[in-house]
Parts: sequence; C-alpha cells; structure tokens
Amino acid sequence: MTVDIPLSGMILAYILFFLVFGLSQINRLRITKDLIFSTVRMTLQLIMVGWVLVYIFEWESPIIITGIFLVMVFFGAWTTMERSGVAFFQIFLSLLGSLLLGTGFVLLFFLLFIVGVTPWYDPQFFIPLAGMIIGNSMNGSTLAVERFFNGVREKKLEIETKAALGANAKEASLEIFKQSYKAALLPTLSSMTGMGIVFLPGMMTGQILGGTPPLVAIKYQITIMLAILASVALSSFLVLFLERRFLFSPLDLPRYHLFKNKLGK
Amino acid sequence: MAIFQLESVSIKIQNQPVLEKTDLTISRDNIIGISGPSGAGKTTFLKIFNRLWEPTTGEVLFEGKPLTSLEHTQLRREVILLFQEPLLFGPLVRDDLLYPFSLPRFKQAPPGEKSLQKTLQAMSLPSSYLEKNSSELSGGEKQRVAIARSLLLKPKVLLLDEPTSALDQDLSDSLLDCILHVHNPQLIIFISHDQKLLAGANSHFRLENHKLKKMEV
Repeated sequence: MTVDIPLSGMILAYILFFLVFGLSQINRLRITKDLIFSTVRMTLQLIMVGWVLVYIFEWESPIIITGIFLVMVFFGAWTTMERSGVAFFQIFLSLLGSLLLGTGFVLLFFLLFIVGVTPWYDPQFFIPLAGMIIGNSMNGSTLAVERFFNGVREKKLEIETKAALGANAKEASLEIFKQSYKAALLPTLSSMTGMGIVFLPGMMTGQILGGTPPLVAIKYQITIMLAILASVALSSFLVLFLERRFLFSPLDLPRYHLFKNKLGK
Repeated sequence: MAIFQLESVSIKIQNQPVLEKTDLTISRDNIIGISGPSGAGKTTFLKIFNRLWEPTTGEVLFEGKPLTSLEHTQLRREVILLFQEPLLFGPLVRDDLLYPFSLPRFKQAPPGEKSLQKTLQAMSLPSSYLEKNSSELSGGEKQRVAIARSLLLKPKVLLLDEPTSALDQDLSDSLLDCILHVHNPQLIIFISHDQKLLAGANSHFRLENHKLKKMEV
C-alpha cells in the first residue's frame, strides 16, 4: 500500500527548511545563499525528473529506453573522465566502452534473470536500476582511472627498472593495477559491510516507506548490491585494462608525453 | 665479429639533438667507457641498445639483425641496462634477485642457492644479505644488489649508467673485475666520469656536441 504525501504535508516539510534558515540567520552563519540555492535546485530538479518519469513510464518503448540508457552512460563516461582529472579523449572512449559493457550486461542479467521483468524495458524497473548501477560504476571507474594514471606517473622509475629486466607493460604495472582495482572496489565493499547495521540503504528505506514488506525489500536490496558490485568490478577492470593499453607504448614503456604537465587530482 | 652496428643513427629528445648521424661498429669482447658533460644525452644513448629508447632515424643492428626485428622484452634480458639510481622491489634481497625469474613468460630456471650466494659475494655482500629487507640497504648496497640481479640473468651485453656513483672507492676501483668474476658478458658499455674506471676500458668515447668522439685510453 502506497501512502501519498498530501500537499499540506509537502508544505509542512518546508517548515523544516525554514527552521534551518532561521538558525543560520540568527547565528549569522552566512550560508543563506547556499541554503536557498540548494533547496530550490533540488525541488526544481526533482519536479522535472518526476514529470519526465511520468512520461517515460507511459511510453514503454524499447528504443526510447535504450536511448535513455545510452545517454546516461555517455554523460556518465564524460563526468567520470572529468572527475578523474585524466582528461584524454581515449580515456573517455575507454570509459564509454567499459561502462556500456559492464553496466549493460549486469542490468540485462538483473532484469531478465534475477527479477524476470517482462518486458525487460519496463521503465519502472529499468530506469531506477540503471541509475543505481551506472552511478556506482562511475564512482568505481573514477577511482580506478585516477589511481592508475598517478601510479604510473609516480612509479616511472620502478616501471622502467622492471622493463629493463624484461617485464612487459602488464608485468611492470601489475602492482599499480592491483592497487587501483582495489581502490575502485573499496567504497562498494565498505558500504556492503555497514549495510543493515550502521545504516538502512536508501532504496530499501524508500521501498518500505512505499509499502513494500521488509522481507521483499531486503531481497531487492541484496540482489541490487550484488549487481552493483559486479558492475563496479567489471567496468573498473575493463577501464583499467584499456587505460593501460593507452598509457603504455607497444615497446611496453609509459608514453611519457601523456604525463607532462598533467597534474591529475 | 661485430655485436652492435649503428647505421646513421640520430637521436633527438623533444626536438633537441643528442646524437647526429653516427655510424659505429662495436666488436665482441669489449669494454667501452662513455663520458661527456651532463645533459649531453649519455643515458638516452645507452637506452637505444635495448630499445628503452628509439633512435629518431637510422638503425641499430644486434648480432647482424635490426633491433626492430627482435622481441624487445627478450632483447632487454640479453642486453641489460642498469640505471644510475638503483631500485629494489623487495621485500627481501632474495626476492629482488629472483624477480627477473618470476616473470612467467620467460621459461628461465631460477639460479640455485649457491649461485645467489656467489653473485652477492662477488659484489662484496655477505650471503646473509639474502634474507635482509631491501628497504634497509644503503644506496651503495642497493647498487650492488641491482648489479647482482642483472648478472644472474647472464646477459650478453651489460649497459651500466654511472655504476660507481653510489659505491665506495674500494669497490669502485674493482667493479669491472668483480663483474667479470661472476659473469663474462660479450660487451660492457658504461657511462662514467671516474678516470680509474675509464682507464679499465678497451675504448673510451666522449659524447659532446651531438657527436661521439673517440678518446685515447
């Protein structure tokens, strides 16, 4: 059973906002601008996305849903590249390919086999799941790309020394690869560890509030966490593999010119 | 018979010339010393012998074959370059000595215990150092372990970049003898400013103004 929030309830929620607003005014905390901006932006964005979702849910077209997925992955790859600080077109392409493959595979597997949604493009399932899977894979890939790039730059001498003993790019950068991959998985793993005891995950909370029995909600939460883990692992591994190919020359040495004047983050 | 031939080799780094069209034939059983002002590109010159750097133009032949026709990772085990700044990977000295044998692509059997001990001793390090933590070694000791690590691969050619810079005087003076005591490569090329070491070479070249100039030994 879904309990809708009445308009009066929505208005009352903004009373909570004015409480914070008043607090900052009285104490001259000078965050009034930020408070108003963030609240207005959040409200407008969510109203807009609500309307968009209403329309998308009515369309139920596989072409439109696939198109939305591609747009999400495209912007995901672009944002990830920018956040990682490793701004090269080839890195963008690597991210695009690995996010497309990593998230696409897991998403379809989840929809078709785990939940068994028919049709598979049912937007009520597809859109929120795609959002969660892509979002988490972006975070993982950002860490992977940034760590590997800076690792190769900082350990140039180690890579050269290993290359001088016959190591190829894969062997010479193995330690950096491992550390970057671990860094990519760590946020997902630590959130899995705390889940249920330290905090209740957002999706599960939302489902329970929406009237889903807790035992059904946890089944969704468990399966989505495993799907997120698989997608983060798959896309981070793929992007690291492609990034290594881009950063190393066919002679198994770092392409030195890529590391000049690149500060990374 | 020639082991290396340079055919009109030029090297540029970021459009700055290091070496201009040079022809050179290097015969086997040779020890060559190279000196020159800092920044002249001596290290880069050394790197062209095992493709850690590519000449801008021209060709390098190894045993009569162009370097570009050889598998470069295998080549780098036969023509080994030792950097001026020695780097050990650890955790133990033993792991460092065995690192080149841990790469599964090369089906090269690792050296036995006796061979490890003998090589370390030739570098004036006691065999107990095998179990020592690599990070605890001094700069000179690291340099010696790095040399031992290369020698265990029994390379045909040894390229040494300022090998005595971190060593104390005694070992510096006897470095070439120590190396030849454990392994006899067909060619050693080293960069050095150390006059005593240069005196031990069969020939001495000076890299200056983008040219290799033969010096009196």
